[in-house]
Amino acid sequence: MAQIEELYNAILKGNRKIVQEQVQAAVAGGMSPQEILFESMVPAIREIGDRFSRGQAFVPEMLIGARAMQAGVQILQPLMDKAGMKSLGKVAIGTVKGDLHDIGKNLVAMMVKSAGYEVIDLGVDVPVEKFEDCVKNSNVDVLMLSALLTTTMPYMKTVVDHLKGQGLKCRILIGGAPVTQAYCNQIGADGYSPDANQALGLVEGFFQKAS
Amino acid sequence: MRIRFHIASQILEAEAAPGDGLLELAGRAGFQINLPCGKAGRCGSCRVKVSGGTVLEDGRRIVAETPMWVRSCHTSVVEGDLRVEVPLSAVVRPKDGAPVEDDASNLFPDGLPMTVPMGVPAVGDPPSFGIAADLGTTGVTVALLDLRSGKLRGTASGWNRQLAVADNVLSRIAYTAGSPERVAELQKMAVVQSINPLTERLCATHGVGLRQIKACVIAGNTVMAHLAAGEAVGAIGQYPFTPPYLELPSRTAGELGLAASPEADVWFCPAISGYLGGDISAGFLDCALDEAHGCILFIDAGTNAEILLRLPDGTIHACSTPAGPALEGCGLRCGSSAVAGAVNHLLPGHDGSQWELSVIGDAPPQSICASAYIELMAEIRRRGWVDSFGRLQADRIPPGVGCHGEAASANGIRVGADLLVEEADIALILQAKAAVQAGIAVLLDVAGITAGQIDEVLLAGALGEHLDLAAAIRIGLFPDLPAARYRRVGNASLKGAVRCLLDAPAARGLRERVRRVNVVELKTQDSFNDLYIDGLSLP
Repeated sequence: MAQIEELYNAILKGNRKIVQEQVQAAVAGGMSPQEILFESMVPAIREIGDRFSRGQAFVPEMLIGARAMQAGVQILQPLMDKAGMKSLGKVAIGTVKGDLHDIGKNLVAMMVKSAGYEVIDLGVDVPVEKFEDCVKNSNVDVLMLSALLTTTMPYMKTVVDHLKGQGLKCRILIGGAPVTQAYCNQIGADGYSPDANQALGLVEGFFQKAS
Repeated sequence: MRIRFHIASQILEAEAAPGDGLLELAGRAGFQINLPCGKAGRCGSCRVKVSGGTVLEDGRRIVAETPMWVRSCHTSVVEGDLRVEVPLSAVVRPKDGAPVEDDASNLFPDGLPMTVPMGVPAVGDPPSFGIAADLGTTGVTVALLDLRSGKLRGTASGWNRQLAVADNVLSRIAYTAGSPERVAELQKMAVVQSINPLTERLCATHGVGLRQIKACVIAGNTVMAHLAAGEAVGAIGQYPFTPPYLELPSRTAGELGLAASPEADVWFCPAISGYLGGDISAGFLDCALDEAHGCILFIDAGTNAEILLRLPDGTIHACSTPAGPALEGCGLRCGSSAVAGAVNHLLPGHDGSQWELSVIGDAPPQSICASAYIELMAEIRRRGWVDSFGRLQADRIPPGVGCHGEAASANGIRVGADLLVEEADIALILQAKAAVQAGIAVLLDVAGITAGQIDEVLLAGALGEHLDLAAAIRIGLFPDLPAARYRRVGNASLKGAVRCLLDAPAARGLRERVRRVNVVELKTQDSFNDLYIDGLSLP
């Protein structure tokens, strides 16, 4: 197993074209999709995430880097699907009703997916019924809710109340600009993360505890 | 006890009793603290450093022998002559507290046509007057007009007192959720505390009695207009952002508590959609976008940037794009709006150690407004001091200018003794720029034209007035077109409201005229996210 330095750096620099070239070259050279993803790409996006958490990187770099990574993941995804890569667990994610913001949600979805979990993306403006259907019918272990507006955040409580009220066992994690740990405690959600990096940590922590 | 607020080199004082909140004391001392989350205690933007006394934060007693950070929205004083250090980023200084009369002589350089004014006086009535108000989320401007001659007597500006609740429309919507009492509270703040002092000031200056005011027009975004009318705004905060009214019913001044003759009609400029409000339809009227020729791009860049694109065949596409408060100078470490003491032009001198800067109002530099950030970013990018991500390159910046930012981990540039531009500020301006750039790109895409086909760009609002056009084009905020194709139209919202006041038939026809605008919801456009991320880097 080895890190491809050019690929790692291209994600840090947000260069989509070089990421695609490097991924294609690695695939052509016979490297497994998992090795490309986990040795070079995931460490790069985590590095940006760590810098972001420390206040040494900002939103523009985070989003540009994530998009570059996504360009590489798009090449690897069909290969991994074909190979029937084992999923570490099942996660659903969506932006709550009334809210159309999806950049942050997409970033979290990509990071969780890249880390080896199966991710069902319910999209934006998702009503409680759709979350409920997904949890009931798809055997989801973790549900992640996103809201970017002060005005749509209260809908997270609606979702938590409804799902917990039905006795559904899945863990609910929440995030988004106006969300805080205090709000998470207040509405009885199972976890909160201020950024995509820590969101992945929460998911991993949950599945480690569960296994 | 005496509380001393230290803001840069300025000290403001207030007399306090135990239990007084820091926000209230700041108001008493004559300034306003920034409240992005609406006093929820969540965002930390209102954090200040207290020392030399005891305070209560969320019920927790803090004896501040050494300086301690507290959230001012959840903190009250207990004892001791407290010293409070307030970072510039926590201060809203749209205007000073008192109303300011503006120079209105250039508002209508081509004169002002009058047909049938609103509240038209009957023969033999004493002289009558009207007011037109631009009710912004941050600032408010009122114009006083003579309804007989159609002459503009003067304009005055102040700030929207709803800032005491929250600095943005979404937090104000959240604040009023499910509470008619809070809607009433914000209604009073808008009309009685924000518009009335300006009207009273103008009337005093021009010798006009309040009872002589027979008609009023208010232009504001949908949230401001609804709140001024005392209407609930909850629906505007969630997709599909449908406001209760596109055309608010007229009221009387007496019903709203507006300083005027009690039976005077108060008319609201109609909205185009939830996020294209009466302020934009007023701008539409002022620029007569539908009657113009050629291809015209209208941009009003504030916290939300509203963009309208008129095509030669008369089709008009429009969108509203969330730029965030950076373009109004909010949320930036040393940022402010374009007030006295704000640096509005900022360039490093040739050796990098000297700064060429100009300050609004011939005052010592106390803050930096958005136009100066934009100018600085364009120049330091040219010099290679900053990379395309907006990260400062410490090895390229001359010694004495580069420094560590507040976070110590990030870099900054020192401007003069007290002012600092950090990478976090650059990132926020980049996000605002990306939103505007992507909004324009989506509209061009929907229309199927390229930027080069635009005949004229109309820049409305305060940012347009102070902006260095070349710098704005260099960082990618506006399309790369010859300067001659740009025209600054100033406060188009106020001017449109004035036109409505003097031309009642035009006002009544405005709803019909804006009905043909095709509203593009950016978040449902597949290309928007990609264009937004494209816009996050510096060319």
